[in-house]
Amino acid sequence: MASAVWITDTNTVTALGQNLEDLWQGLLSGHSAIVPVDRFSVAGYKSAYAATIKDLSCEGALSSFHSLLPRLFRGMETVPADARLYTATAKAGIDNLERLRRSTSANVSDVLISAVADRVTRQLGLRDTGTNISAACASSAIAIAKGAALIAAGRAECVLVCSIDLVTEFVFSGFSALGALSATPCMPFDRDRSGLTLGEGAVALLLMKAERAKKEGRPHLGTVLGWGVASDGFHVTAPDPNARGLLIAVKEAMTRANLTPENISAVCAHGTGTIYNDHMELTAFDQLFNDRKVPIYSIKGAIGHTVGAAGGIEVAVGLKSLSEGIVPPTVGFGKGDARAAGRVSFKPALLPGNHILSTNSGFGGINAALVLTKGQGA
Amino acid sequence: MPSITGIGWIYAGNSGEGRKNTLFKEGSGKLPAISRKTFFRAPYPRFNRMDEFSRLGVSAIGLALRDAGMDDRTAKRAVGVVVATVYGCLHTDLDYFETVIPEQGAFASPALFSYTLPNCFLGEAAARFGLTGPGYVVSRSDDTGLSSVKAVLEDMDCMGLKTALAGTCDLGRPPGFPVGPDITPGALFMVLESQPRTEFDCYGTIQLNRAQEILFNGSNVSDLRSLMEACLKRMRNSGK
Repeated sequence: MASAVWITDTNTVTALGQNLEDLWQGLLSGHSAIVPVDRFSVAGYKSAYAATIKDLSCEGALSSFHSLLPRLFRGMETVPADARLYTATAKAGIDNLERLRRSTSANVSDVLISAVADRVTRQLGLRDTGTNISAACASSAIAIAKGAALIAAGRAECVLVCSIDLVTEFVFSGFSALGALSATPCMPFDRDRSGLTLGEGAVALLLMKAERAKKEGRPHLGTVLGWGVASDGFHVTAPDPNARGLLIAVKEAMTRANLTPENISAVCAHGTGTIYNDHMELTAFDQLFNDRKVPIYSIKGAIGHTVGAAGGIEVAVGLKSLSEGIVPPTVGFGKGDARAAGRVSFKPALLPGNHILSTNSGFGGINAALVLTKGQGA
Repeated sequence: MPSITGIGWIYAGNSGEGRKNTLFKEGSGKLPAISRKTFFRAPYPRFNRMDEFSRLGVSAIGLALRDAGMDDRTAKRAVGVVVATVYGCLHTDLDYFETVIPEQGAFASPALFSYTLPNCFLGEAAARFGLTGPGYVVSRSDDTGLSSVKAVLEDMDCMGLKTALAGTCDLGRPPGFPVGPDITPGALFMVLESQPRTEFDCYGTIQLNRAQEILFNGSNVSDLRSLMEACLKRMRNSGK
């Protein structure tokens, strides 16, 4: 029989604050951390906005991710040394490639994909040297899925998932060149949405076999009940308009969770604010829930699109949502897409149950879905 | 038990499919030109839009699928791809940022940016070959090349994955890039099936034990190259 997978600890650092509580309170208040970018010149780009962490800077020649990780772990209990480590990032150390090309002092090894895993292993003294998962905006959701699957199958007792991505000119310029940035702060699921706004952040989640967590007296923040990962097989940058990959991932997650769509209380959508992503997601949710008006929310209007870290941060927010019994508002949502009507709201609402579906999709046509259920608390 | 049913590779020494060419030569120096006509029989309009990393990876995946008798793309199928890489798309990252520096990003290349994630070529392969399983990149600083094989075997054991490609793809350390290990440029993919087709002659069985060791036909293998050689030796000895 599969072991239950508890999440026993988590923290976030985002543009809405130094920890998960700050993020949650900011979301409930309808605050947006999206501001004009002052980290680099945006004169040549289609947007001037991003959700940046105010006092984030690089220490000497190190990438900024080095200064973010200690803040992240400051808010957490000790991670067991035997924890398997999955890091997840799309482009965490790319700020140092920029510095290298601009002939500024830079620790170039931070550019390598395994750099975040190396740093986390050293910082926490873990025995596992760590595996980085890179799957664009679904990176951290896949890392959580893999961690949960290992624990459920008895291949691991404890898995730390740590994810981070930064607002850099490299990524900002690219999304601008693709025409994917919104000229104004993003408006997920809004009728007038016109693109995404980038954000930055870090998240850590400690997943543990329930029996061990009970034995060690660890809190039960929530359970990862189901997971699914699937590709569209459609296009490298555009989502499948028929949402085939996302639907496969969601159905896999439901089956594993032994739930039906009727059991889902709310959906934490990827909700980037691009025309194509939000259309694709609404197509999937139409098929999944039919006429049932399941609450759907996106947190990207508040903290921007944190790329590889998005799924992990959204799981952390999902845990708060389950424990507080509240669906957070979708900041930036105003005039709804017809299909969003009655589902997406700019106001908080009561969560009508104990199960949240969290979904992410990314470049490469990759999709991930997670089903979370309410924990018993401390 | 999971089995290896297809192998394809592209290196400077030679390129091939395991059943057609049982002598693998890694070689040194530059990779051969990765042209559409060399690796694909049918037209493939997107091929020349891709960056070199993606062309290499998609072509090697195509060889492995063909070797496994799975290149017939009539319908989408739940096949995953996991790839290990050290440098990923770093060459493309460097090329892309060269388009950003002048004119404060006004002429940043969207075509190059589309390939500045190491998993992008998995999306190309998924679209080309109709693959709808999980697709992601794994990177470990202590990798022996087997991390993708381990990831696929774990996904088979823990996530119900039935068929997937596992492999490695790297263009090596970019010229002028000052740090990182020396990696031989090239790509190698293997098709793994949790329940191989009965009519199909497999290279052998493969499993991941609880000590995280990979066993091929019951014997421990230490790295991806050794696994590849063991597969090809098995095929040579079978006389097929």
